[in-house]
Amino acid sequence: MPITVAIVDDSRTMLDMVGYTLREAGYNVIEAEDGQQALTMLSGQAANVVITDLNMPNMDGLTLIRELRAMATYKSTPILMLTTEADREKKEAGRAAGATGWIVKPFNPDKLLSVVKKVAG
Amino acid sequence: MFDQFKQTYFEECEDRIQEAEEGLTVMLDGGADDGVVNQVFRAIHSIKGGAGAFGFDTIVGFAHQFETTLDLVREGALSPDREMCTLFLHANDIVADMLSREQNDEEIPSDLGQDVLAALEKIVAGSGAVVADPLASTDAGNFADIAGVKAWRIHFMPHKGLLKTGNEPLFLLRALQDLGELDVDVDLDHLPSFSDLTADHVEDCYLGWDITLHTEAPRDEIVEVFDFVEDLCDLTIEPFEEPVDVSQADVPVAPEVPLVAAAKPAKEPAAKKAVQATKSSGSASIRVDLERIDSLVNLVGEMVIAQSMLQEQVRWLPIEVGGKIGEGVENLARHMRDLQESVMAVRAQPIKSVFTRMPRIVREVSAICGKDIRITTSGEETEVDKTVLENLIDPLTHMIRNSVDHGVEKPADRVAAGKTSHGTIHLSARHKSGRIIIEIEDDGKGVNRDAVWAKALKQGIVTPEATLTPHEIDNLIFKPGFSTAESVSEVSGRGVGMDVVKRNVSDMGGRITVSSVPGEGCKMTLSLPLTLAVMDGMVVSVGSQRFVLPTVNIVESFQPNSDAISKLTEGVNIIQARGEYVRVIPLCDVFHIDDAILDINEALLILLEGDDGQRVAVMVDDVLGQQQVVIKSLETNFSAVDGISAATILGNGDVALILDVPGLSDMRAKIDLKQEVLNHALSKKEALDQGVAIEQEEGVCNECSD
Amino acid sequence: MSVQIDDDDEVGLFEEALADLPASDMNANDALLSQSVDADKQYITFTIDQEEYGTPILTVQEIRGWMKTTPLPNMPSFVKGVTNLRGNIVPVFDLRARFGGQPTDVTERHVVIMVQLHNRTIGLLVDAISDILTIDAAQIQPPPVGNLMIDIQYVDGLVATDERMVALVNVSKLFDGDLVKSIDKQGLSAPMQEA
Repeated sequence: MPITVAIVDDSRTMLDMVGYTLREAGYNVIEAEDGQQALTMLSGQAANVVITDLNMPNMDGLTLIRELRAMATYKSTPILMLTTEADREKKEAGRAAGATGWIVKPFNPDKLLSVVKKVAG
Repeated sequence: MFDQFKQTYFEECEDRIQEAEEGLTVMLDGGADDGVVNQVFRAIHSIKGGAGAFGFDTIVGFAHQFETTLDLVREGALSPDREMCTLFLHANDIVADMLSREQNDEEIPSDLGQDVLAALEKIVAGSGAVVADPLASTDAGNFADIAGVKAWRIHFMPHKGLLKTGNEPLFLLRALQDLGELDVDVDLDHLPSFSDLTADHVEDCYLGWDITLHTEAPRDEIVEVFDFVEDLCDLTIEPFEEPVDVSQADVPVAPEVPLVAAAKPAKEPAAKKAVQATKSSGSASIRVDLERIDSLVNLVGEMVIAQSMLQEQVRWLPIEVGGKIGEGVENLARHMRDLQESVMAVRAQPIKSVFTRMPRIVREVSAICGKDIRITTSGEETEVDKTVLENLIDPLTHMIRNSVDHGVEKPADRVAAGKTSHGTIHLSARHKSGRIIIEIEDDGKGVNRDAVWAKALKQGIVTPEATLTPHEIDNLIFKPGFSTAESVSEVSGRGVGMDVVKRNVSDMGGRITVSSVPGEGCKMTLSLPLTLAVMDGMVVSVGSQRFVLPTVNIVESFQPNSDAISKLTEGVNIIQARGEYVRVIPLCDVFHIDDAILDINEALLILLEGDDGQRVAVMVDDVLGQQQVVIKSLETNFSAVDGISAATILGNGDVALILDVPGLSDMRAKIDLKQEVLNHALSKKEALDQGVAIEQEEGVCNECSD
Repeated sequence: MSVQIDDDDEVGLFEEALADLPASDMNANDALLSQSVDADKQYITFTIDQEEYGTPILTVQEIRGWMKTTPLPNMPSFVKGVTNLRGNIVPVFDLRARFGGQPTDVTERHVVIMVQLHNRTIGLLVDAISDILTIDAAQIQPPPVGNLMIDIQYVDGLVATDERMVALVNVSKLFDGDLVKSIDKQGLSAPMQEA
């Protein structure tokens, strides 16, 4: 059973690139384009890891993380946030919302895989 | 490695640029709320993110500065005025420029947007905020590597809540293992006694680990393993001195075994079950190559032809055989139509993507002309085929440029004329009887009729004797050769005149007209087919030839009552139809067909109305039926032909020409019927016919079904 | 009614098939497949009245017997009209009329050569196909000013073979990039011919 990673980003380019990297590495990847869509998707289909952008229309990433954490299924699922600057403030905001960690954009594919591995095995 | 995603990126950026532009335009007009500012910020942010992935450093640098400034607006630290919004719009244009250069593999000039960048920097500096260098590594470590260290002693004691953040010590230890050889001791000191354990503890972490890591990796890499949990644990990392006798007591760990059992009892199986349960994606849309859709459209087109071939053949079958088959074919035809529509709907897109390009053009051009012009749009959601959309960009751009350059006056002139100092251009779109109507309306000075007339004379487009209605004079601007060097300015120029716009538009089966009120403004109306692939047509015969008349243009078909026909001059007839006098165009004359019915009293007339409301009656031998026809351009292998919009292939394999109704009216001009002569004759006729009942011919009118 | 020439046919067979024209259709590209060597030196020759003309085989897409055309309005007499070539609308030009002769009185025996030109496919109406010739550049002589029906500027050169003279026609000059322009210049008043 491959590990399922959900990617949430309103940028098609990001979805494509992150998705490609993960699929190549053997992960099962599901995608959503904003927080609201992700929430709907993840209610019907569980992911082992969630990677989400922060700035998105409809529902932003931090809200998504909080919403997911409130769901029994995702109480302790690794949730990574995609962010351009990993400054202290962002990290703290992410942590407060319940994020597991972060991935800095633009990402390096090896780094992405090592981070996913670090949280999902 | 991500080159294959560049195309997606550029396409996406186009949308982003538009979103930003829309948002900024709202901001410019002072109507922005947080959502709008956020939208702009997000757009630029997203462009920057992708640019980084592809190594477009210039874009990253510029977008970063732009984004930083926008962030300040978002946080309320800056309140942008009109001037600042204009700067933002420029910045957005520059990002768009940079992107298009990257897309075309062109060098970005080093000075591109430097002034805007400096202005943005100044704004940020003025607000007292600090900008981080976007290209500086965010992973830079603060700890100097201690040279020569081959082993590290790590104490890792998670806080109780670590598991709740989704972090998993086991995986962290595995990540450490990737760096080198690992010895792990479990620290059980914090574990409550078994009797004290309750359900509340299940999600807490009580274990700690003392780890010896033999590795070549620098300290930074070890620290990085713990980057997500640095504030969720007690962590010490120290160089390890060998040899140490502790190794005897160490439990060499393949860390799988004892670590998690207590902490995470039920989670994984549950999650796995859920994953198995639903495999389908939650996404409601898929992306498909345009090529695939196009080949589908073509296939459906061929099927429509094949189906009309079948339909034609069925007619010749004896009724006892043909009845059932005919029914089936009718059914098939209906489904074909649905299929056709569904396929075309896939290609349809809102016109928004074209409209949103226009504000930038208005801005740029009005800046050059020293004008103050706002653009408003409506009907952006109106959908039209993607090909139409693509072909629309050039003519529409040119028309907008023209409005800015020639239509709207300079602020001083406007004020002098008692108008607001800023001009307005309104761009709208709507559907009307199977076509899309696009209007560009400005509140400028209108078409300068005297100048147009003078110029048309000079260019030899009209003769001094010609008498034209004001409307006809205005529309002379579309005549080939009307635009001359004089009117070729920086702005609307590039040597392209409105005649080229008209050509572009009619190549798509579209019409363009202008109507103008001197001093008050001018309105250009574009009418385009919703698709360039199929249309509903009426097949008529003229001698041995068959023609297709677009159903949208047909008002009715009727056998002329001889009382309603009047001969204007030799060979030129007009007819009373629906209370109006319209010219009769015998197709046999226009097309030089000599085996056709020549006597108007024996022929059939079809009353047609062009998009401009002009009516003509074409004379044909017979109506053969209505059907959907697949539009085949004559220009693929030949060129445009006056009076013909395209061709189609009939059920018997023959080519039939699709008539271009307004084009036919123009051809009528070649038969040399002067407006004045007609008007004169009409008024005379009207006087004569006074009291002749309009209903007279109604008895023989056959209303068309569509 | 059409003779399909298989890829592996001998050249000889192909030429025999030529003799069957115009009753049969054939695909010049098939000839190229079996004879791709020197293809750029090969010319299809055809006749108009008693004169023989050649055009490079590489530009020839296929050769068809006379097909019904739909006339177009207000065209010079050399524009025969448009025809349906497997779902594509293709114009057919009467070469005799284009050369300045009388419009061809079309019969079943006439032939249309489908040529690729400026990314378009156009049909050239000629009397008959006569041969496929391999011509070396050295054999081509400059065209004499003289008694050809065609204007000399459209002839790339002359080739003499077996007591015959073949004029190599420059089709792309004859129908330049913008077909409309060359047509516009010809005057539009000529009445249309019935197909």
